[in-house]
Amino acid sequence: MSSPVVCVTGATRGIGAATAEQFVRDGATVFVAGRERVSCERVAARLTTIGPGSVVPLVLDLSNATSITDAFRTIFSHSRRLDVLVNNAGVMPGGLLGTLDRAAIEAAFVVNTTGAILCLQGAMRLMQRARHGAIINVSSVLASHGVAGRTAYAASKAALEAATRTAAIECAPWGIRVNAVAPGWIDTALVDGYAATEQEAIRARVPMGRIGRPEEVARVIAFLASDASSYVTGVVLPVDGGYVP
Amino acid sequence: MPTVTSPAQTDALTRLRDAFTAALELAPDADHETLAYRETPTWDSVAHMQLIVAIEGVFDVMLETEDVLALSSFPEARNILGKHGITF
Repeated sequence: MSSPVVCVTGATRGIGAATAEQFVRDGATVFVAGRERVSCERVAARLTTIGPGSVVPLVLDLSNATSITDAFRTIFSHSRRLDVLVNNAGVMPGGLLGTLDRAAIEAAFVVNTTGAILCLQGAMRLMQRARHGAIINVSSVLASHGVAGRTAYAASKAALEAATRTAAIECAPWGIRVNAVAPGWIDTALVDGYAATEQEAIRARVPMGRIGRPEEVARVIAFLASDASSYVTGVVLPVDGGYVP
Repeated sequence: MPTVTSPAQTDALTRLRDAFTAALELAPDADHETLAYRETPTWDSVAHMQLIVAIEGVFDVMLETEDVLALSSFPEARNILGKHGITF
C-alpha cells in the first residue's frame, strides 16, 4: 500500500496512539482523532517528529453524530479519500450489575457501538469511491468472555463484533474489508482502572504470563489494514496472549 | 419567457443524467424526470448506493446521510446538489 490515508479514532493514548504511530512509521497520512483538540495536537506534534508519514489532528466526539459527520467531511476536504479506518475509541463504564445505572449503559453503547457504526458508515462512504479500503474495529476479549463488573462494556463490544461481521458482507462487493481485533489485557489507561485483584485474576488466565503492549495490538491492526490480509474480512482476531476464560 | 441555461448548467445536467443512466442501467431514451426510488424497477437499495457513489464522484461532493435517504428522484437529486453549489 503506497501512502495510505488512515484515520485512527481514540488516537491520543493507549492502543490508538500506538496504532497511529505504527501507521506514521509506515509512511501513511494519519488523522489522529480524539475528543480534545489539545490532546490531538500534542500527539500529532510528537508523531510528526517520528515520520516518515504525516499527521493531521482531528476533533471527533463519538457521542455526537454531528461531530462524526464533520470529521469525515474534514477528511474528505483534506484528502478526498480514506483508505483505512481504525475504529478504536471507546469508554469502559464499570460497576457490578446491581449498581449499573441506565446512563452508564447508554454511554457504553453510544460511544462503543453507535458511534463506531456511524464512523464505519462514514468511512465506507469515502471508500466506496475508490472501491478499496480496510476498516478495523477494536473490540475486546470481554465481548466473548465475561468478567464481573463489565456488563455494559462487554455488551457494547459484542454488538460491535456483530456489526463487524454484517458490515463485512455489505462492504465486500465494494472492495472494502471490515475486521476486528479483540485485545485482551493490554497495558493502557483502561486497564489501570481495574482493581488489583481483578488484574491478578486476569493475569492468571494469560498463558503467556504477561500483560500485552499497545504496539503489539497496533501491529496486528496494521496487518489487517494491509494487502497482506487482502482475503480476510469479517473476522474478529484475538490479540490476548492466549487468554483462557 | 423561456428559461436560459448556461453551458455549465447544461453540462451539469448531462453529467447527472449520465450518472443516473449508468448506475440504474437505464435505456438511452429513459425519461429521467419520472424516475422514482423503489418504483423504477432497477432502482433498488443496492443501485441506490451505486447512484450515490456515482453522483459524489461526478460532482466531487460528499452527501449527508439525510441526503442519501432523501434522494428519491431526479428532481430531488438536483435540489440536493444545489445545496453543494451546483446549479442546473
